[in-house]
Amino acid sequence: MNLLEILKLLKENFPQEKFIEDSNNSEAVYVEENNLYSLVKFIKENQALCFDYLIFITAIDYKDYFELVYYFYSYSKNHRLALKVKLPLSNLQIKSISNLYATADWNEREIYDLFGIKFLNHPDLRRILMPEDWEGYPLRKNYTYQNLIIKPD
Amino acid sequence: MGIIEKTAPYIEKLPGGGIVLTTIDWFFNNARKNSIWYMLFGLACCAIELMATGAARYDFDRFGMIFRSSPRQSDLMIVAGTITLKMAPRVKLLYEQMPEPKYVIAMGGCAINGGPFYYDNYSVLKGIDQVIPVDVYVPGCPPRPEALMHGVLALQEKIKKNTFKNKK
Repeated sequence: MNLLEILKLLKENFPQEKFIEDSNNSEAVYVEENNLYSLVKFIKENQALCFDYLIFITAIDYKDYFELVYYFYSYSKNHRLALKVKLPLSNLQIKSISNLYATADWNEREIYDLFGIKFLNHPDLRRILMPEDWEGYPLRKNYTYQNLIIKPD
Repeated sequence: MGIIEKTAPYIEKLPGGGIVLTTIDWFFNNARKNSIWYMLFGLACCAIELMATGAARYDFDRFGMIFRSSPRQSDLMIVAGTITLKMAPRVKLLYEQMPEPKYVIAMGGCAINGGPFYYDNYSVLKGIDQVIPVDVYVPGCPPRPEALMHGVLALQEKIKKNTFKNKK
């Protein structure tokens, strides 16, 4: 299935969701954060889509909002899809999909560790890379660290 | 060993004691410098070069250097690679587990001062000498096996100068 066919099927099942396409990425669509969990559950369990593999989750800091990117792939159907979610700074939390994909467990911990986005219902949301007593979230754009040596121009 | 260290000040005072002491020094220093057993320990890409140096082509064995998998049997710690702030306490623990006399070679830019991770970095220790004392610095990114062998020869020169004289 190509993206148009996938989107057609998704729109039939989620009439309230807009599925705004990303002009920079032909495989990606923007979805609402509230719909993400049910959408992921649907694309995993639907027989025609059968997205059996979560490639990765990552986050991007755009200063005035955060973006989460979920990449899915189907081994049996050989098609892929990226779901993007915009998170406002006032509400940096989203429902975890770690009970659907085991990959999501550590990916979400990494995002929590480096960006400080909370994943609700995550079984073990601890820091994964940084020391446990670390303060702040290093990959945020406004992150500062007292011993940081700034590169001179 | 303890006996020699304790009796060295008295031997020195005896007539001809200096000759005895330097002979003891010569004996022990030769034994030590020609059997530097290094710890099987690598942190990043420098460890690949360390392995190449230890393997057949460059052959650390001809210096009497054999890797030991336990810090308790090692004389030398070659800090090969980037030390993150999270790893630094573990490196220090390994160093403290080594028996005296122990030596440290800081291999590569990362172990010397953070190397390519010096600027704009929150997670890397800026040099292993902030945590443990270093005997020889081997620059390079990573250093070639020849450079590491040169560092080992420099360490051997350093070990040669060890003496029981004035040691407490």
